[in-house]
Amino acid sequence: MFLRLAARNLVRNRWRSFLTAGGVAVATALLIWTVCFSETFSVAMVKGATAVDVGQAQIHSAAYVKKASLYHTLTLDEAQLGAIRRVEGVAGASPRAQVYGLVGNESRSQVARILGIDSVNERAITNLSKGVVKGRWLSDQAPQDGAREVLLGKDLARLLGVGPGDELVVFIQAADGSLGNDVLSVVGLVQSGNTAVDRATVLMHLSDVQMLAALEGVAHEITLSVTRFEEAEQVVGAVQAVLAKDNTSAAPEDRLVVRTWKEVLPQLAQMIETSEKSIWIIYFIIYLLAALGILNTQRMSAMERRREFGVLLALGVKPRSLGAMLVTEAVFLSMLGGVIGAALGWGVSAYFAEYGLNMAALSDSGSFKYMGVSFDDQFYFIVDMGGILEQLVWVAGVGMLCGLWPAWSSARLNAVQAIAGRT
Amino acid sequence: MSVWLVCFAVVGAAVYCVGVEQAQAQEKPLPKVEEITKHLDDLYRSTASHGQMEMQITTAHWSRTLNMEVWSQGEDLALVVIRSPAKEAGTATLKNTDGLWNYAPRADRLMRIPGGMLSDSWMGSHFTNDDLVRESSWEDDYDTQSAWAKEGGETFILLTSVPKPGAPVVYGRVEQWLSVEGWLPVKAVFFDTDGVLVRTMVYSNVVEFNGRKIPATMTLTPADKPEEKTQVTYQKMEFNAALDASIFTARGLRKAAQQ
Repeated sequence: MFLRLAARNLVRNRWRSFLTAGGVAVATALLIWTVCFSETFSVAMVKGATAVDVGQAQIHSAAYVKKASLYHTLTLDEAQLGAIRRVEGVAGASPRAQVYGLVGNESRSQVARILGIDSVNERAITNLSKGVVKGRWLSDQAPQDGAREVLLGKDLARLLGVGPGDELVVFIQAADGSLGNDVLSVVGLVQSGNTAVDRATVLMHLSDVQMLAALEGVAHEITLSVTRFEEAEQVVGAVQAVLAKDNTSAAPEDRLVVRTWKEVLPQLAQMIETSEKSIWIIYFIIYLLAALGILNTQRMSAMERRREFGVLLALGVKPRSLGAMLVTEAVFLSMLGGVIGAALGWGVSAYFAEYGLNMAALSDSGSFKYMGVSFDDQFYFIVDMGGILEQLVWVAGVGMLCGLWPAWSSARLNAVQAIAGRT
Repeated sequence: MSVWLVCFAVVGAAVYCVGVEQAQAQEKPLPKVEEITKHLDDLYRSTASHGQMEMQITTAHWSRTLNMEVWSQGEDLALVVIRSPAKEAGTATLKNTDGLWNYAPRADRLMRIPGGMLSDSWMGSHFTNDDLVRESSWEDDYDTQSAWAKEGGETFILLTSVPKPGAPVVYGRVEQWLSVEGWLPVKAVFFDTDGVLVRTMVYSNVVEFNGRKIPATMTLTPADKPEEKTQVTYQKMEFNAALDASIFTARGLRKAAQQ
């Protein structure tokens, strides 16, 4: 009977119920869109940050983890690399040597991070090769004679005033104390969107860097990419297990340590976490607006029906039942709005999941960048059904909370005074 | 009367002389600061000089010895060419009025060194580019005050130099201990702008080259890595040498480097 009464009450003032449910629906749809967007944004940020430079995981010697230094190397072992590549979830593994040196010519020079890479395997771990904006990527094999090949970050090339085909000189402080120097030939320019890469990085063949920096047979890191971002931690565990055998026989400072991008770049991980948390402020505001709408409606309708409630109480209806009826109304109203909103929000998000949201349109430069990380221009939404259901539960909860106050005050009505209209 | 007068005069003069001598012993007038800083600027420099030196670098990871040939002329021109070890032979640093360059012999190319790198390490040693080519001058780039100082029972002239505003210098303060005789540097202590000790240079092995006495050995110790050091020793030095100024050009450098 109370359900019928509740339903009848909502139908009686159709416009008001419709508008309130509509408000809840819009709020819910907005929430679901926001949930999907922020999820997409976080993943895109991780992708953008890891795809061009650090990959999703890295292997270093324990000494290097403590202090990144030219001298803290790891010995390259093809069998070991093969074993790492065979670990499930590993999409690619590539060794790198990282040194600092001076690159320039007779008129200008700059200090640069010189990254020695395996030109073939690097393609499997980062997007750097896709970021070649001028010229070409390093050839598969380092040329045996002639100038050594080098790729420059686009901004670094601008600072030095050079382009593909030009010559550069490099000075590297080698690990044996000598001063490696040679002539380089610029084969291409790279634009990654990552400021550190574009402004200060030089890419060369690993073998050339090993030769110039006296690092024969060693490297500083092995960079890994994973097939699924979410599984980076599990993959790291599995790779660490593969290395366990070699690690037991190694000296403590030479033991290999596998870390996810989160551990390699703790500041970035924290930044993403903060940005994920800040979304809760938006949730709160939207919920607050929806809650105020429901509260207003329920309070108004309860005020209007005071006499009716007085009669019901006089007829022997228990105050508790009366309150329950009002709460039911509120929950029903919010659920109606919630379901419509969820459908709407899901629909819009599904559209963006299919066709993508053009983020580049939001920026003047034509490519979307945030905190020094560049993103894909098209955002393909990740639609998380669990998240949508979670929002529905929240909306129902908010509806119930908002029904409580009018229900509580109505249940405490004095029947005689209410009928007389004297409250 | 005349006897008294003479006696008086003699005693008075004697008293006066003793007093002056005592004052001099305690507080000998300090030489003019400008004269000392000019002396320091010119100590290892002359209208033209040419010499050979050996640099021993000791770091936590390696130690090595470089042999170098050096030329300088006036304040603005300097050339350093590494002669050994073979791997680096021909590597050179040139400073002239246009700027500072490194020469890569393998590539046969010059590379300009930005002015901001004057304080960076020279060829992996603890010396900076500036130490080697002496871009900065005590006279022009620092405000200096002098004082007497005692250490280990010996008296030194202590110069405290603070860079002038805008001077191309990274240190916040430099203290130099000089011998009273000959104003030869004994020790220089470098502090950063926060007053923290950065490095210590010890001068030793005073040798006479061309009638000029200079400490031929300089040992530099970085404060943050006390187990590391770089020691430079002049093996030959010819002051006021007859030099052709064309050696301080790209072409002159190539010729000198490829010898």
